[in-house]
Amino acid sequence: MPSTQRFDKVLIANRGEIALRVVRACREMGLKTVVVCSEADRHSTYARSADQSICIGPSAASKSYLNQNAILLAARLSGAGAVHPGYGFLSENARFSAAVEDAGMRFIGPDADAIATMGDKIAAKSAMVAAGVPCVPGPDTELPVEPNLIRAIASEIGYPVIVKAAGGGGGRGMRVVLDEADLVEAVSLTREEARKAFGTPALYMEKFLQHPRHIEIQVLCDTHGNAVWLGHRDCSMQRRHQKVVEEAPAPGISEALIGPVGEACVQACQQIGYRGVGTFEFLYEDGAFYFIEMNTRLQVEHPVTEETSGVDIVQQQLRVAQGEALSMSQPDVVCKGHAIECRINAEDPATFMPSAGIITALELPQGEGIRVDTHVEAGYKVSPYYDSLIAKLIVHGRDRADAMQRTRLALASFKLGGITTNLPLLRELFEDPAFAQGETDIHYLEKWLKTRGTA
Amino acid sequence: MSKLDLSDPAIIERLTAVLEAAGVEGIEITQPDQSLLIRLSGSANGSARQMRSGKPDAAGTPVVVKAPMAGEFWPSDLSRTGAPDVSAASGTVGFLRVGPILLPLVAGPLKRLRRHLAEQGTIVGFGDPIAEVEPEA
Repeated sequence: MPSTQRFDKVLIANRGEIALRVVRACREMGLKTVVVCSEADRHSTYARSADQSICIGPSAASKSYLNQNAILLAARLSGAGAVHPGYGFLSENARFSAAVEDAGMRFIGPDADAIATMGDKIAAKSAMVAAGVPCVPGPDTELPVEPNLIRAIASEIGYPVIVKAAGGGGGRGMRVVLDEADLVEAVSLTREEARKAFGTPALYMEKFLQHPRHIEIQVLCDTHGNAVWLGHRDCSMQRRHQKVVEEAPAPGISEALIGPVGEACVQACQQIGYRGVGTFEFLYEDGAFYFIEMNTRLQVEHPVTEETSGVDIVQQQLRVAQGEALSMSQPDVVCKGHAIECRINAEDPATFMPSAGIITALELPQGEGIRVDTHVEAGYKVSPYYDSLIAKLIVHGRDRADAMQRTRLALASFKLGGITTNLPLLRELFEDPAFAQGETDIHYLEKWLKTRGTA
Repeated sequence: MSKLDLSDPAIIERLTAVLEAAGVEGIEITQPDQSLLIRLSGSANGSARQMRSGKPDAAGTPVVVKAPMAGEFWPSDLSRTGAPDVSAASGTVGFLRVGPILLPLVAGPLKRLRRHLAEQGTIVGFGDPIAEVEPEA
């Protein structure tokens, strides 16, 4: 595939707020858009916001948003020159990336080889070690089958250890082992789960960090060998490995400490010939960073980096896919202020059960530094078929305290009727002194939920 | 439209895979010297792929035929001349052009075409209304 491939029409292989976000970026660049949709999304206003909308299948994602052939057919029919996968669904599917490019279109993301390498956690770790990116202690090779060899590796790393599926990610396919007595059985169980869930039984083992924070570094790379990192984010506020609140920059981490890590990420991208945007995810504990995985796509939380860096990440994706060279170099990247993103989910704030139904009233917060990325409106029917994310509240302030206060006010003025959402939980969380202080670890939210009787 | 070699196993295999992925139960392709009929019996969902809405058996009640997949709508088979393509006998109310393939849209036997609901040459999506039919008197 040549490094330059101009296109004037983009098919968006996704739904909801991210589909709308990509439509907006395309429109601002003068590109035509095609949105594919399922039966459930057929009548959504956002689906009609594109220049063209094509229903590709029934409501179940497996028959629509995950149906590669149906998406490729829609792309061919519409004359699209490129496919933007958004996040989730097929965004990190190497076969889909290859199929798009084999069909003569541009996949707006990395090539299949890069996706496959980073999707295999052992290969990814190996690549990161080679590039000098700090990794969690543990070998960058597949765990052997022989029990004595497994015990020897765990003993060398030191308990507690974590056993992970090479094909896993996003918190799936992993098991913590506290001591040797449970080791062999834990490995056996995880191996079987990995084989069923990810199609490969390959495992690896690492040191289990007990109180880490989740820190990520956003990178942007073109096809001419140029790459920059756009600052860092803290996504430690999680429940069951699902991020709830994200912020940029990560509080309490000096530029002197994270600068070399960002540079190592850039070098890693250049070494593997990475194209497009990507996110290096790290655990951070006791002043040290440990690489856990790279996401080869746009992240849900990309807006906090956009707000602090002033870079439109989606537009940059499109420009890189067109073969343009990056218009910025690292010294041009200057992050200002502090940004916070709250994920507004259609779910019960106490039980976290999904809440489907019709939104009867909607009043979005407005004001300086406030941005809401959403596809919903009054009258919108929240479908039970998909992820419960219905909006993202992004707030930018001059510093963290200012951003926190603006977020409190924005959450207070966010009105949504007809279904239950996690807005009450978010309002309460932003009054929590420890969260306001910052630097809480990835277990904090679940502990906090337990103290208030929900988890 | 380029001509397919309908005896090529690779073509048949690829067509079958595409039909399965699209949830289509079958396809019939006819060329002057070759014809191919693929029927995917026991397909994943087992549903009829000529989607309809309305009460099909109620006398005089129109039934809407919907597209079973995305494609370019053609009310008749442009590769043929002289033959009536939209007929009560075959129950065909139009075609979806999908790359080199024309997929017949079948309303079922003893149905009379009342009107087309899609314009010729337009791209239709899964479930889009194609035609309105009614039982023959």
